[in-house]
Amino acid sequence: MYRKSCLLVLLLLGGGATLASASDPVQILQAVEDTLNAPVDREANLAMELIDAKGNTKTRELTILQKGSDKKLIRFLSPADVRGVGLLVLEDDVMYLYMPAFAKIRRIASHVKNENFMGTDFTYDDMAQSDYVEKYTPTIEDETDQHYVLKLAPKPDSEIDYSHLVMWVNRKTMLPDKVEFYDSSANLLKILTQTNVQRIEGYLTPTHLEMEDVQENHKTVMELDNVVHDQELPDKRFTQRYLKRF
Amino acid sequence: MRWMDYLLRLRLVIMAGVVLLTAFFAYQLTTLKIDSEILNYLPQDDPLVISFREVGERFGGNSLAMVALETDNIFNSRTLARIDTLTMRFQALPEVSQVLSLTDILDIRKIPGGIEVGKLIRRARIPQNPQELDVLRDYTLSKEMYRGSLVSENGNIALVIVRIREGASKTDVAEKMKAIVKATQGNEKVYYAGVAFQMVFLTDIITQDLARLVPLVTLLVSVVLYASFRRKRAVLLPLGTVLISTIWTLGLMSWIGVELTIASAAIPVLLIAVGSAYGIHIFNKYLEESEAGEGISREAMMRQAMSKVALPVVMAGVTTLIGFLAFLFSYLTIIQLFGVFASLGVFLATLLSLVFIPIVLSWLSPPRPRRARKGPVASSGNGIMDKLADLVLAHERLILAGGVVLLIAAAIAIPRLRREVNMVEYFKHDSEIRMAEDMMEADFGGSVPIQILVDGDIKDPLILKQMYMLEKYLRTLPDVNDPQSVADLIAELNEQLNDRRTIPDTREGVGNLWFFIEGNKVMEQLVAENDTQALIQAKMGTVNTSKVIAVVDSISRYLSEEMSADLVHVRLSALDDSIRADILERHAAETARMIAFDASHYGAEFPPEYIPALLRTTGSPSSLSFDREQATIMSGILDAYFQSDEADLVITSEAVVQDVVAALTKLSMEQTPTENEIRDLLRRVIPASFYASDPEAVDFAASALTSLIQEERYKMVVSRLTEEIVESAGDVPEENLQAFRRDVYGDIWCLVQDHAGVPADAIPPRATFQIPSAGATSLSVTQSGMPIIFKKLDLSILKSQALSLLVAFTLVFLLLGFRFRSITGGLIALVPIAVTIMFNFVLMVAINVPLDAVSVMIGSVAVGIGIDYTIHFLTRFQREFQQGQSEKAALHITLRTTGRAILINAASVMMGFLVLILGNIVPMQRFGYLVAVTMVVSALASITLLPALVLTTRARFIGEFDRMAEGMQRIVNGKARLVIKTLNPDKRQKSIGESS
Repeated sequence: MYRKSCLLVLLLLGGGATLASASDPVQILQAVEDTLNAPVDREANLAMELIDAKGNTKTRELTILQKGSDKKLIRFLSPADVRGVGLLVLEDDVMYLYMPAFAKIRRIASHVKNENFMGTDFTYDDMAQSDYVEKYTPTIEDETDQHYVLKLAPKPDSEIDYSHLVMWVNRKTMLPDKVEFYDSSANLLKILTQTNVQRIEGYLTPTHLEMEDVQENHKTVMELDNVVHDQELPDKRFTQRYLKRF
Repeated sequence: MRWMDYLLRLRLVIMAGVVLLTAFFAYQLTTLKIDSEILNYLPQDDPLVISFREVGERFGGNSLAMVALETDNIFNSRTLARIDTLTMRFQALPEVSQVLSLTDILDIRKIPGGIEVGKLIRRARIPQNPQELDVLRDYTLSKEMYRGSLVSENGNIALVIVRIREGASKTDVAEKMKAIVKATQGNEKVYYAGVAFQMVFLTDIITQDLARLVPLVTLLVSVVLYASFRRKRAVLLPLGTVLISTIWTLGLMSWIGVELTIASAAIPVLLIAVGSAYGIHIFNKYLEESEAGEGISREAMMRQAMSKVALPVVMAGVTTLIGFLAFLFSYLTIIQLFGVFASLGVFLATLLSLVFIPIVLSWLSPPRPRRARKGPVASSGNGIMDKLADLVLAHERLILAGGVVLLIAAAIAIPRLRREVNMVEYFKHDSEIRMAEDMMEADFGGSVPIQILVDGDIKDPLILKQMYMLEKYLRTLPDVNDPQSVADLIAELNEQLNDRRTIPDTREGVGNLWFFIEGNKVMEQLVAENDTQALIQAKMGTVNTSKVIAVVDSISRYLSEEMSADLVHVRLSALDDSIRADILERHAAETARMIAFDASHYGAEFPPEYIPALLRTTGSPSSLSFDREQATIMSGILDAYFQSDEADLVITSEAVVQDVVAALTKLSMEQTPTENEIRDLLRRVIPASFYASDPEAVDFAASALTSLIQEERYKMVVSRLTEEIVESAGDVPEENLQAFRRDVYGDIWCLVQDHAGVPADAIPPRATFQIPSAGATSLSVTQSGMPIIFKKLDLSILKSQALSLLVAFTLVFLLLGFRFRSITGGLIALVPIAVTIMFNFVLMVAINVPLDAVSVMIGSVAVGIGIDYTIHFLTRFQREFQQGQSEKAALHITLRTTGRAILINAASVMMGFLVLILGNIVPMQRFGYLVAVTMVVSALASITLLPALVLTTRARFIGEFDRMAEGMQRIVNGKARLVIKTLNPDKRQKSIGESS
């Protein structure tokens, strides 16, 4: 469904493009995107914790494989009842879902981006945030010693549900340290924070992410490990045939 | 009368106090709130209320507010745009947890090889041209998911459903929603439905009715008072008293934060109509004294009047209090509160009559005597009253027989007494909200949800299957529509992805489908507490309380008798043949039951024993052989697999593919091949060169083909059986046939699955060792939601009625027994009241008026006022009789004086209550005319039945009926023969003279 669903990885495993001196908001945003899109391919494990308002916690584990901008594979490892479930995302708005319980692959087409992904606080859209420049018009709200603070307004045709985002771009890493999401009535809806940035094979990678839905009092915490970049993943890893192999 | 001295000495202080208190409470009155929440009828610690609120908290709120737009065809761009605007603005309200509408609903449709997930109408992409709109209309109306839940069947009404968070003020949200709707443009007819709007509407009409009816009653009572006395103070004093006591009562309620309800809203009218009697008594007595004792000082006159009237007024007040205080024993909070504050009001009215009126009168100049018109008791009606007396004397036994007949009628009627607790029934049929609810019932299956809470491991297929079966059962119940839960969502996803509408048999199967809906907003209403609780909801398509209760009872019966609390997972393939046969038999019976539910839902009829017989013909699906036609289908499917991108083996030679397909088809037709057989076949038929670079491919292919072949074989078995069943149920309406076939197919699919559930107590002991202990699961199921609360309310209203009458009767008996120093006296005095109340019940049954939170109070009003009549009558009769009048003469005198006064009082109280007919709240209207009738009956009973009873029983508390021992005289008087016994001849002479 979600062409960019795996682009979460892009967001997570950003490289280290730098920006000499710029106060042009579009350039800053472009630099953020370039940083996020730097590696050729990547593989990572992701541990997710979903915490509801009462403190109930659910955990999810998955691996993500990505090559270029049109080949992604997500594989669930836990909980047990979804172990082996795989998502292969090859073209815009189409993905293949493998359900091991039925030994079956099903094609899933979708244009819904504002639904939450697998019970997390990330929508499919949130996870696809590598095409900021295409979707948003940025303006500079503030500049501090550490951050450019950008306000991102959706472009008219972008079908985005948020009224706007506010992004704190780290001047050193050119990665967003924090993003605030405002709902269609311009009330604060969610806050994304990215911390524990590590340089992995030359690419700057935040390894701890939290997305908090302040309206529902629900939170998703993600930890990234076993990150590998540029291992020249073969194309056949991104086929229906391999989707079943688990 | 020392208290009069104090009163007169402190009159300035007291009056200042009265004025100040009145000002204070009048100010409080401005903030009096109205509580229209039906949950508050019950005590808040009632388990059902607690459970209802818990369900609300856990599942995103259980109050719905619905806005419907009606136009010829809602599939036009303007209406859809309006729906979209409403949806977004409602969503922006912080108290709203979810909004569902055509412009914000997830749509899943089948596409080749998979599904498409999207919004029915994409955001900001409302179709503009007619063709697109027609396509949208046809598609939307074709799906059960939308038809009858978001859009009416003929596409002329669309619904926007808003779920309100638990704890938020429903009326506030509803008001805000109304404002939002009013701010949008459009020609559509707008409806507001659901509990939140009902509450707003009820609050509005209670306010309106109070504002309109209270002045009207006041005016009417003023006219009656003025017509009777022709003096301004006769109007102002009694009326002032009740108005002040009403202000104090309601002001106090507001001050201490008690909100007005549909029951206590009757208090003002009640107090004005009933309470003014006390003031009238006092004023009347004062008038008498002032006319009798000219030249005495005003204060002395006042003292004299008060000394005679205070006790009767207190008695009248106390008896009325008794009627209302009896409600303290009611289980329903709303009735209890009414009892408390109505009693308080009566108490204050009594007290103020005794304080306020004398003080004011002590300041006023004595009334000018008007001897020409002799006060309220004129003599023009004496003839009628005399005739009545004669009638009573002549037909005492007939009258008693009439009473007995009424009691028998009541015994027949009372069990048939209908109850009504649904708020919707409070509204007139032509009211806005009632029309909206009628529309909801007709086009959307109702607006009141049935809720069933399931506790257990919800992702366990056995539990989901129990839920799914329960939903199938719910669909068979009359007036129950659209059951929904995560179980049928899973079944539907299974149909979309695997072509079978049923619950998968394994936890993994469930998990793989659940994956799709995890985190979706709709899940908030379906599962909670980390998937250990689920909610099944259905719409109640009627507001009729007895029908609602019938449904509640059917559900309760199903939950307790048909559902198993403890279940055990078994794998059929791992069991001994004999045990497996046992379990399969049970399995077939269960499947038959599901099919029977489906058949009943879709309008088919099945001989119940037919289905299991049919299912038994299945035998083992793995070992059935297939015909040529089926072989063609199988080879087509195998061919498609090898041609597809997901084929595990890439075979580039078409000839080899054909060979493999042919070989596999042959292998598959007699029975389901094992994975090893398939692997061997692949290795044998396919040259090794095709998988040399990827040796694992053969194993993956063997595994994939095993599942594929097995599933195809199952499909064939299930299809064949489904067709047989659907054909034998020939009377399914055409439009239901497809859905019926789909559901039966899903039901039968359960039979071919390897995993099954068995109730823990149904496992044969010899089988226990074959079943892993980890396979046990348990669930508990509780009914919640409004319908079961309605049932509780219904029962409570009935109990309240019985208990309040019992308490009132007991107190009245004690009071009257004490008053007349006689147990018989107490019992006899009860009879007219009892008969009046019985008459009321008979009348209610005869004209089909239900017992509800308001009409339950009629009995108490009847007691409160009826006893006054009884006391007045008996006191006067006793006095006349004991003063030596013959019983006939005593009756004549009593009827001319007290009897007449009773009738006048009944008439004036009746007038007061009849004003309620002009109100907008249906139960209040009914209350109005029922009390009016009751007043007449009560008055008549106390002047006919009561004397008849006294005369027949010759009750001793009245006097010595056998006092003329020396003889009896029969006096023939026109129509009647009657026996008069008198003590001395003079009196007898007199009475004879009178009667002739």
